[in-house]
Amino acid sequence: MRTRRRNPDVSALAADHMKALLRLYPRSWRKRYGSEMDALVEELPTEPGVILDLVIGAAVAYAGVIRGNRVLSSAAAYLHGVCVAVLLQAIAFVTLVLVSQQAPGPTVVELGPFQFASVMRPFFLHLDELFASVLARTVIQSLPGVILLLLLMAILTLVLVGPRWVRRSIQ
Amino acid sequence: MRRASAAVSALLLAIVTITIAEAALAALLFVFSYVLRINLTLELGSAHLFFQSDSSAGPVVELFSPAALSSILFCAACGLAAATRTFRHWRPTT
Repeated sequence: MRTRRRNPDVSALAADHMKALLRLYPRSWRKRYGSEMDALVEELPTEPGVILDLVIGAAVAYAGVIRGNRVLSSAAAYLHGVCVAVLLQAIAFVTLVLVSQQAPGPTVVELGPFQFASVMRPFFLHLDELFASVLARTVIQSLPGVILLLLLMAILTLVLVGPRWVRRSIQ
Repeated sequence: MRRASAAVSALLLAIVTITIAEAALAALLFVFSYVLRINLTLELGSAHLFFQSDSSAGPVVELFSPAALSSILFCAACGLAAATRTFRHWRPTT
């Protein structure tokens, strides 16, 4: 955290606002470091960078508290697992749409007697589609889906790698 | 008594999380339908949810009840697997 000489024109009100940010920190953390932090915050200028430092510090402190408790860690892992599941299903949906665009007939996803999803294409033809080349048609139709798929995969990678980054930053 | 209340709390957390996740997934699918210009139908038991995009020539995607059920089970399984793994391999931080 950055420390500077106190600017004389920093008002008491601004200092109070900065101290209020310390309430974002976990109670156990405040009990241990609260008085030291109060004194440090009084020395700090009221700048967006410092406020951001304090907010990020609170998030890291909470991550540390969660990691230190077995039940809280498991609950956080549960939330993380559900997030990954939602992202995987969104990726599966976009992939289904992309695959069905290349298929000549209707696409049906089924397992035994259970039908999960179906994709039907309209039967009528557009003249402009008839004259456009197959390659151009495929590229134009698939482009939004491919972009969406890449975006979802990037988010999934971030969600999978994120906890490791946080763990490293705490250690 | 304490164990029972803890178990009920954990169950409630699991149910609320899955509900929010499924609602978020449904919202995502509707947004994707708008972006990809598809007509989406979600079948939830006897209820049907329709989303008609502005393009009438777009494909019609239908998601049936087994898909909704398997989605709920998949979310719960992923969450439980992650939680169990963390609970078993948890070590106190030094």
